[in-house]
Amino acid sequence: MQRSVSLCALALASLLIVCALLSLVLGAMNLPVYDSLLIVVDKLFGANLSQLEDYQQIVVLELRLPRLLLAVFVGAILAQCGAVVQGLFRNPLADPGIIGVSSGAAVGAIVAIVVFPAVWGSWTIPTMAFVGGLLTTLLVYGLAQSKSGTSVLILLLAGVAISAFAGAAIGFLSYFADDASLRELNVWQMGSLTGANDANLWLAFTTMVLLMIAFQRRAQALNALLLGEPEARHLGVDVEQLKLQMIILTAVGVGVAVSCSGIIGFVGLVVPHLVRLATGPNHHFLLPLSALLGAVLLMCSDLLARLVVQPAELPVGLVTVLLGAPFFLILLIQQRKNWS
Amino acid sequence: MLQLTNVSFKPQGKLLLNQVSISVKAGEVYGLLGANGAGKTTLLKAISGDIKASGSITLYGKALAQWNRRELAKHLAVLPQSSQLTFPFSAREVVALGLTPLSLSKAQAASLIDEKMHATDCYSFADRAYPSLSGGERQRVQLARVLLQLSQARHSPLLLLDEPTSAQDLGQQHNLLRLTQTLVKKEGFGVVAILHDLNQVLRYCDRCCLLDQGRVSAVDSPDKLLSDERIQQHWQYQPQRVVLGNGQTALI
Repeated sequence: MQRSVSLCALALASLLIVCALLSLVLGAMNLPVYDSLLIVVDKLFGANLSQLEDYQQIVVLELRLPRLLLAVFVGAILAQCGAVVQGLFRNPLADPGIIGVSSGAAVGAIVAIVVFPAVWGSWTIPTMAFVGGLLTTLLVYGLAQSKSGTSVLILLLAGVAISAFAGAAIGFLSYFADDASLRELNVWQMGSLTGANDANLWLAFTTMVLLMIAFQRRAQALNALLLGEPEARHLGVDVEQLKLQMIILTAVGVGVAVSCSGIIGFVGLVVPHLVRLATGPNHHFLLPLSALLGAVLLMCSDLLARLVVQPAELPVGLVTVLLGAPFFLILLIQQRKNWS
Repeated sequence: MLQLTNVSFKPQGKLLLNQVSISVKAGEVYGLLGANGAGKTTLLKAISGDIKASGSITLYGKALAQWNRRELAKHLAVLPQSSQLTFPFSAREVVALGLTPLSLSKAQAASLIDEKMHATDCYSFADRAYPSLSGGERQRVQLARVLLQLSQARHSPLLLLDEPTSAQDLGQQHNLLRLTQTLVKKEGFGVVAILHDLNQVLRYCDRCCLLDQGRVSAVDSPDKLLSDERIQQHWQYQPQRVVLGNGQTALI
């Protein structure tokens, strides 16, 4: 077990580096490969090795690099949140996107854009996204709790209802929005990493690190929770506190992710599932490996989004949905026998 | 070690436990008996803290609510009736969940996990996925987990068994109960068990408590407690008795 975990970690880390290099080099504008990489070295160490023109440097340093970093941070956040939500609900079909948390966060963000754009400055959108995400998580969790545990049916239906409501709210608000807001609304609905800038990179990076630490500290308790709530309580876990912590942390994670890049679905569903296939459900390994694979997956998706319809590009959220939705269907079919 | 005084539980006006007072000593298997609905499971849940009952429940003189969660988990454990796992932990990982309240070094933890898996005879399938195991195998894995959880107790620990033999075949039932008895006699565990099979009660329990409509009807050693009249009264069944070669009685 220990060995397969190390192998996975190594493979994913290498993949992460390869994808990052590809993301720097490939794109609508053809740039010399070596120089594109060297310019990052120049930037980091103050050297002067690259021979890129100024406008080419801007493409690499101010467009491609921030975007790939945002993909890494948001992918890692979403995948970890997915793993935690699945553990919390004890169900592999739970995902912040599917159960409506991302939609709730998006509604919060959109209310912030359209209704009161700058009450708390640049914190308005992330804060409102967090509030929206938190309220929906609490709502869904409250609805899905029953005596015999969490009801998957209600979980998924609540997700449908909330997503529909969010869709309507977005439509309603876009009716009143001006042109600039309208463009932003589109980004929120479909998910895109084009908005990467220093502010949201720092926000996403800090959130990713904080979540990694906080989740890892509760990994054993999350493992115990998989046995069932009474069993976890008998093992000395403060179950109510754990659940509340995890709900708030995932709402923070999803809120930040949504405020940086809009709704990017299915990363939180697919990634933990794949990691579990390789290393089992132990959260000590599941959480860090999910973060790694989430980063890789979102970076690849964004690369695809940039490359397939050059020189235009797809919203990355579309790509993850195209990859994730069939996966979700397969999971549903596998689970079907446990339902009736 | 365990003392219940006037424990009552009355959710939505329905009295499920009525002034129950019992005490359990270290080194004994204490059976909870009674017909369905008599309050056995409710009483066990009150002891394990799953429900909040009125009255006082103390372990080693200290009210359960006063215990630190992790300290309590080191001294009081529940062997669940059956456990469903959505995600496929290996048997060893399930056992390792017993480490949750403990703070051990990695090497200590690993050797204790092995030790408990040997003790409960589940070492041979340590790396198999828990959901692929049979009911009896799962029960043994859970027992190993519980033993690990109790391995660092400072006082003799208390183990609660909720119909521990319901998912098992005859051989497995007796293996589990024999193992429990060994823990009690050799390591001074206290055990509170809900058992349905009165012959198992006669064979393995030191004392038992007969519950009737949430009330303690009698507490005694099993052979004294299980008179024909009581069995007739509580289970509406007239048993026949067979005296075995070793002098023990069996009920048919």
